[in-house]
Amino acid sequence: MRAFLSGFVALGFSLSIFAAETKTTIALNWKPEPEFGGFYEGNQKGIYKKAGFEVEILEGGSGTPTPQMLMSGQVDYAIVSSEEIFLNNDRDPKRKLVAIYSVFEKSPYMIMAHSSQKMKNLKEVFQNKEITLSLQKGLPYVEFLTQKFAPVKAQIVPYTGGIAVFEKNSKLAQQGFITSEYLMAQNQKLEPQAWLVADEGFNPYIAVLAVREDFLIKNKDQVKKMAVATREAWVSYLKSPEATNQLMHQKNPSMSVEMMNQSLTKMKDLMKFEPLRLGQMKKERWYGMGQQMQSLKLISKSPETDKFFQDF
Amino acid sequence: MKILKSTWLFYLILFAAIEFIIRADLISASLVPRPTQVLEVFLQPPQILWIPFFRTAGLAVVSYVLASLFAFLLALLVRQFSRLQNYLIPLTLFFQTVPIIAVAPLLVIYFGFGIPSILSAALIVCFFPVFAATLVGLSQASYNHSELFTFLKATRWQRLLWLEVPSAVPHLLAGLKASAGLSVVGVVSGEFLAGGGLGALIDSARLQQRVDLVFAALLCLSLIGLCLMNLTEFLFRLIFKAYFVKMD
Repeated sequence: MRAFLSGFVALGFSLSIFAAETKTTIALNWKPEPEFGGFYEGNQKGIYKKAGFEVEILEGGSGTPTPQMLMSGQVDYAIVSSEEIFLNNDRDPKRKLVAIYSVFEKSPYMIMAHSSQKMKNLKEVFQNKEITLSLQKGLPYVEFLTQKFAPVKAQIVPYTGGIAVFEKNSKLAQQGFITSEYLMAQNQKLEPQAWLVADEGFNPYIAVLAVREDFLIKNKDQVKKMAVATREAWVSYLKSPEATNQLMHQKNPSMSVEMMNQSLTKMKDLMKFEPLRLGQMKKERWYGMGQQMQSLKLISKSPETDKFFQDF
Repeated sequence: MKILKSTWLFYLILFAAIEFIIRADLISASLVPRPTQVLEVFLQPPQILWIPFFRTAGLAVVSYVLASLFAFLLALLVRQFSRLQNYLIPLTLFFQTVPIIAVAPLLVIYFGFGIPSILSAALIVCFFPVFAATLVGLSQASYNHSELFTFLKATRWQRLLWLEVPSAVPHLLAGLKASAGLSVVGVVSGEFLAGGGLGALIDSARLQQRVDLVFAALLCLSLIGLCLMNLTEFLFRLIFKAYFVKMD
């Protein structure tokens, strides 16, 4: 009888463990905006909960070092860019980061100029002495563009975030996201003209959900559940974003709900994953990016790109 | 400041320990660089570290000298015309308390990219310590000396030049040393947004996960600050001495 009872207690105990949710954190590298809509949706609509997670979403800001936060074990899941994965895995091959889901299929990086300058293409922008180009040196896509359009004759100045300097100076061109700075400029009636960096031949996966390789090996089932739930959450967000946009606006009041809707409309053009599933990445794209990163001399070793992402 | 042999030994052991910990892979080299890796950065071609170093150092010196001169002269003026104090103190307090990192983006909008924005960021940061120290110092003349000046019917300006300024000297030195360190803070904050120098280098090295370069740049910044502080003290003692010889 006693054996039976203790067995029963043990069974009850293990069941309660199964029922408990896995507490985890997703660190973002920017403030709540539609590019993270799916993650907020996952919490809002209980999709993560259904998959057995209790997810805390950590907001980021300017310069939030999400790759380092992953590496040092502060968080298990974080949003990074695929270039950051290349840099990280090159600097410390023993502690690789692995991408498990990409929000964007096509990179939203762009350069915009005032349409009053009547630039025909990006080459003209980079090679025009009159133009002041606001770029953040050190970013891989900035390296790519400055090498592609060498000799650069425009005066390069730092990128200060936002569009305040763009607003003031009609001869200024700047970097940004087509889903953010471009729309801000458009809404301020500054008549921006934008070129996507992806169309110039540099198209990394952006807003990528990543984990540490050792974490993935130990918790493959959990990571798979997370990737699958994230996809489900994104499908749900794209169908009906209203409630989540409202929530994100409360957390980030400087972005209006209207602006969020505009941003999402732009995002949809960059999220065409078919025939693959939402968030799924292509082997060839990773391989090609690796070659580009190497030819830009941003990484020293030939990357094993097959190990840099995992398909779920 | 005398650096003891044991201090050198302490740091040698500390750096050796860090080197070992990273080589043994207990901490990732992409989070903390090996000390020898940082040293290697100093040996790389000058455009990597040395050219930004000299630019930042140059701007730190210029802003430090300008801010100190301006702060000193303004303090003299305020001392002479005490009404000015009512108008100027709130303004200086505002610039002292507002964090430069919050003001710097505005400076870029007002003054554009490049040196004017960087210098103004540094001026804002290192103006106050000299200004405050001078003002306090000017009121520290001893009662007896002050009485003597009154007795001898010294003019306002004579009193300032021969009594109040000399009595402000020790305070002034403290203020100048504080400003020396702050000028580096101001220049780098400016460079983060307005470009160039070690500030821009740290920003781009961080993006490329080059922690070795970031640490080398940090060492350089500390070196600039230390040099400015020590140079101030050295020059000050030199002038101070000459001043007293003349007084004798």
